[in-house]
Amino acid sequence: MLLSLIGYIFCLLLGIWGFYITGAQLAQGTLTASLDNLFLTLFAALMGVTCFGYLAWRFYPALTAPAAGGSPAAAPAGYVLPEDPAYQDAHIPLFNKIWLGLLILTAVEVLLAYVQIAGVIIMLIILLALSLIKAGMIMMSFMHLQFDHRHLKWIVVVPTIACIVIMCGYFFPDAARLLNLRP
Amino acid sequence: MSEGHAAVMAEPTWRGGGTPLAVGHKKLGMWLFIISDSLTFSGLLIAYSYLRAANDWPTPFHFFPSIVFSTVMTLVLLTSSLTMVYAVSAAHHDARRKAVKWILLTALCGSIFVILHGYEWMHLMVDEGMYPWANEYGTPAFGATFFLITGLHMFHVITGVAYLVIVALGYRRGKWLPEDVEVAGLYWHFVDLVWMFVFPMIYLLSTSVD
Repeated sequence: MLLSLIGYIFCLLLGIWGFYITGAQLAQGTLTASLDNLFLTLFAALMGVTCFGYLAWRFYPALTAPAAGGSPAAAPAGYVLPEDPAYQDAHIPLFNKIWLGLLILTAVEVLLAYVQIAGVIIMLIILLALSLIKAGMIMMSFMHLQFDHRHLKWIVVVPTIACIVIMCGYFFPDAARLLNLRP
Repeated sequence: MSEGHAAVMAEPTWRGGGTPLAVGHKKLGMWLFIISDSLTFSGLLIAYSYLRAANDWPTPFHFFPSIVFSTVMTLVLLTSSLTMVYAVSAAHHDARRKAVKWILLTALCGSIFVILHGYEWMHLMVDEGMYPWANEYGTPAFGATFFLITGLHMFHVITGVAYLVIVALGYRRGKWLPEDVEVAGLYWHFVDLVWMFVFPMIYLLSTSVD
């Protein structure tokens, strides 16, 4: 109990550190000054996203669990296939809320495209973060991953993120190099 | 848990028993397909970002019709995801007619998406002179990436509509089970999920603000 609490606090601090480094690099405008800066920023951003993503992953189901007292609350533990109709019904109000939240986030995205509160790189990061949140909401609720066995969650999420991060690591430093080559 | 699953899980693992991921084989297969397909799309989107970072990228999309149309398309697709959730729920209740009705409504939303997107493509090609190989805004890579990524996504939507109609007909006849409806729903939600990345990266970051 104490150990996991220390782990969560450590994770939180690491995430804050990652976003602090990223924000400092962006605010000072030294992002593309050299490949080292770019690498450090990418690494710090990845660290922040990973840590906060893990925390959200850990605590999101507890925050959105159906109210106690209904029989379905007992269903998700262990190797239960989600076929009980009552269990399905318990989540319909949650799905309605998720749908409404997705519509609102979409409206915010369209608004942000016109308000343009920052440069294109920061806009890209904000829009991508919103998209990642929306994708997470769809995967966890509509695609039912929140209620599936944890092994399925790991097998879906880990290889995908690993491959995408490796591809980003290959391509984006080279894009920055081409940008600096231009006369 | 149904009796069939209980029987399967009583078998030893090497004889096909046991479900370590606690999902049926159809659902697991669809998840594996979704992983590989999401890597296809992320490869395309990363290539797009690479080209965009290394070129002077035009931002030609006006509020009307491009942004209005793509926003409405997003809302239609999100709503179709919700109707699909209702379809899966009804199917698990064995409410066959209701489930078929919701599935067909989902397919209708998908068709509206395709029609709106087709109109948007026609507008870009006929009125703006934008093609996969050339455009009047700047680098030809703009048209190439736009038509490639949105085209592959539209292909997924058309496939999904066909898949949903086939599943609805088969489920009404009793040929397929609620699990098949759920698997079709997984695919449909994935198509929705991909659009959540295509929409901001292709459309919103290329709006002409002035």
